[in-house]
Amino acid sequence: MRVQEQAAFVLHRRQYSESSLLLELLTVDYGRVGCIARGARGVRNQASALLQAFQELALDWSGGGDLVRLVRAEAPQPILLLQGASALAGLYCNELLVRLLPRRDPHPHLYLRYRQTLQALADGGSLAWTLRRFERDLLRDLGYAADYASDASGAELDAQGRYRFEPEHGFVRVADSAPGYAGAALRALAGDRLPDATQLRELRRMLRELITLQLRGAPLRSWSLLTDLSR
Amino acid sequence: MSPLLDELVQALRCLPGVGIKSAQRMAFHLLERDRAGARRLAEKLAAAADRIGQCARCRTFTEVAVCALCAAPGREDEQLCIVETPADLYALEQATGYRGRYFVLHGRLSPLDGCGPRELGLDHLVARLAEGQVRELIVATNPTVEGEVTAHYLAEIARAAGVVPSRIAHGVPVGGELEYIDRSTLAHAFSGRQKV
Repeated sequence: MRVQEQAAFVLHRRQYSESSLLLELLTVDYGRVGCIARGARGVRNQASALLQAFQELALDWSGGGDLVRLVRAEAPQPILLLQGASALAGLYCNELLVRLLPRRDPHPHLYLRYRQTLQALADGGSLAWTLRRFERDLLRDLGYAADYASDASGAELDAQGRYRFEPEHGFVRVADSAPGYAGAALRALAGDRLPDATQLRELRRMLRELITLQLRGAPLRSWSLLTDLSR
Repeated sequence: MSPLLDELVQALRCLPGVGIKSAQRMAFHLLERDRAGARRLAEKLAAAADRIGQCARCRTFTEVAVCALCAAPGREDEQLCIVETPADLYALEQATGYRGRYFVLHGRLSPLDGCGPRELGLDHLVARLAEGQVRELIVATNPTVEGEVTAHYLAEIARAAGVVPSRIAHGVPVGGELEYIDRSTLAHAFSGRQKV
């Protein structure tokens, strides 16, 4: 099978043998795809500079098995320079996708959201809010969505109330002094309105709880890096 | 023919870039023409594999507790250069007139490869900066996404310790022509332009 000019991002690359790269791709029509780029390593090869994370590519590949073979790579878009904390946030998105998205499961909408997220990271603004929105949309696209606007019984969340998350049911009201998440924070996430700093921290905790439920295993490595940096 | 010869060929294939053909050629060369060289190679390999560890100061490869570069009295303690690998250290040492000290990460921050601050010995680095001698932390990680993230992380560590971080420039290779440079290198070179 030959695929041509498929829009894709490199999520992760690893050296493979002397001269090749093993790539984990996010593609618009095929979802996450494993790909081998033979002879792509080395200074003289421009593919090595091209096949980097955060760069939207147009790829030709052949093969239809678990690992496709890269035939041609081009970068139709200008380079997106993610630097410092934005680059770390971008790597976190990549880790999320590799850990949560099964291979060969197409999610064209998620692809667009990923591209918008990278652009938002490059443009500056609140990194935390950009990441929370991406986590929310990733969970929704993968079918693990929670309803952030109403509680387990279907009633609208009270902005003054506190809630905890119960898998299979949703958000359940708890005493105002109990640990949990503020109704106002959850509603801000549902309504896509920028919450304040305290609410953003609660949303980070809440989304990590939801993501951890789906990970089935080790926590994400980026979490410790992101925490170290925010100190 | 000879099981031992086959085992030798297999063993040589652990070297990078050595396939079955090259491994055979090496094995026959050593046996036919250079048995003394073969014995010397075997001795050195065994000794190096047993005795070479990491320098307690900079984590580069050495068979003594503190390597020659860290022990050299003539070098400046105010500058500390961070590199990803011992090979990078050698490259810088040969190409530049740098007279400061080094610190080797043996990798780069990469969540998907399971490589975090602990794997890179960054607790050693924090302790080293806390000694108070270092004034400038020169980050010489590779111009990859992971190298960029590592540089950012190291800069935060440096600032927290009151040390000035700097990063080596990346851009157009000497003797290159802009027309033929890949876009991403050119974009970096452009955004990293300097006043002249």
